[in-house]
Amino acid sequence: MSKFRQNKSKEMPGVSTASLPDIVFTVLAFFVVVSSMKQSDLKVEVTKPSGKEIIQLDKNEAIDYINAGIPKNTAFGTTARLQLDDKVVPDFLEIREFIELKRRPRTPLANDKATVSIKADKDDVDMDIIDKIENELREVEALRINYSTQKESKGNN
Amino acid sequence: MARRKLQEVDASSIADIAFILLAFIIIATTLEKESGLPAVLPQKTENNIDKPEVNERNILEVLVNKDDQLMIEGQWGKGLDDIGDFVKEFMTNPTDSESLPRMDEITESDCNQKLAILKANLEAAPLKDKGVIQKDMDKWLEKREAVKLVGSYRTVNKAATIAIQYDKSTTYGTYLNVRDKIMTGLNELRDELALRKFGISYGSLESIRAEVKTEEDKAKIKAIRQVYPQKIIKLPAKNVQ
Repeated sequence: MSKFRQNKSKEMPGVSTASLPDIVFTVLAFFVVVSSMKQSDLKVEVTKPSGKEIIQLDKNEAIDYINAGIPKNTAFGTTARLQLDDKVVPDFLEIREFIELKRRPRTPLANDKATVSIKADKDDVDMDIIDKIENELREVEALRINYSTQKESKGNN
Repeated sequence: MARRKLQEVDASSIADIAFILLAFIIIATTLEKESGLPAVLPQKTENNIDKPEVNERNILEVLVNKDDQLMIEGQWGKGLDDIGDFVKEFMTNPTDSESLPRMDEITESDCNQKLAILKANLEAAPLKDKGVIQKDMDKWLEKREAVKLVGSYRTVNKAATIAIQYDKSTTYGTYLNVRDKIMTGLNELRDELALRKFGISYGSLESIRAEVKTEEDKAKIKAIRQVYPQKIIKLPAKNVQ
């Protein structure tokens, strides 16, 4: 018992904060990795077409994404499919529900300015699919669209 | 009971944490920038009976067949790089050709005159027609704004349209390349005008970041777009061999 009592009389050592930055750096690294992973979370193969005249969308306005391409998992089929959020869907009709779902939490004004960005594979998607997507979008009056494109490197033409 | 001195928590690292969070937010927002070719879809129509008669000269037809080959204005064997020149000729009609769209001369007095008429109409019109007239007035107001910035200008008449016709099995990539090339032609015209009038190209005007873009810049962009409007339509797919 006397041993413990002796210890108590001593002053507590301060907690060293020298390792805190390291911990936070680790957290930061984690976030960076996670956020870039989200982008490649495509379940369909998409090689975006490239173009010169591309415009950057205003980040303050809402953007919904519709992806189209051949599913990476062949269980979904071997022809071009749609991916809405995290789901690969076979039916174009689901676009309506998808848009309605996206609209619900937003104000009417934000909905008017919202853009639907179509990310489609340049070779595997044909215009029939694009037409069907656009027809569904017209059904739900989502008229502002964007053909997602990557910047063409200069001289590569 | 032995008294213990309370150790104070060292707060110097809070600043580090805050900086790192800030860095994270900056990285996270720049990573997800979305870019592409914007377009506006036409309103859904109940039926297709009210197709207006189109004058051949008002249409620039770019056709892509199922093998991704191009035909511009009835001429086969054109390449993607030819599109720009066709677009430029179509949008300016430099020789007042009969086969290219009629050009409209827009001057400030025209705008004022038109606005005065519309204003009188607006007051006299029944309530249900007011919306249409108001829309018309907004259009002319925009034109007047444009004239104030760039002076009297010459523009294609409002029926002039660039139409893209494609087959169902045309690949999306080719369609987008065609669209891109049309925009290249259009933007070259816009650049030229913006450089002449404002000393800055249209492209650099547009790429000013939203946070620092002034109302003046926006008005300039609007004016340039009035002179060279983007009027591209997709014709419904049909079989093109």
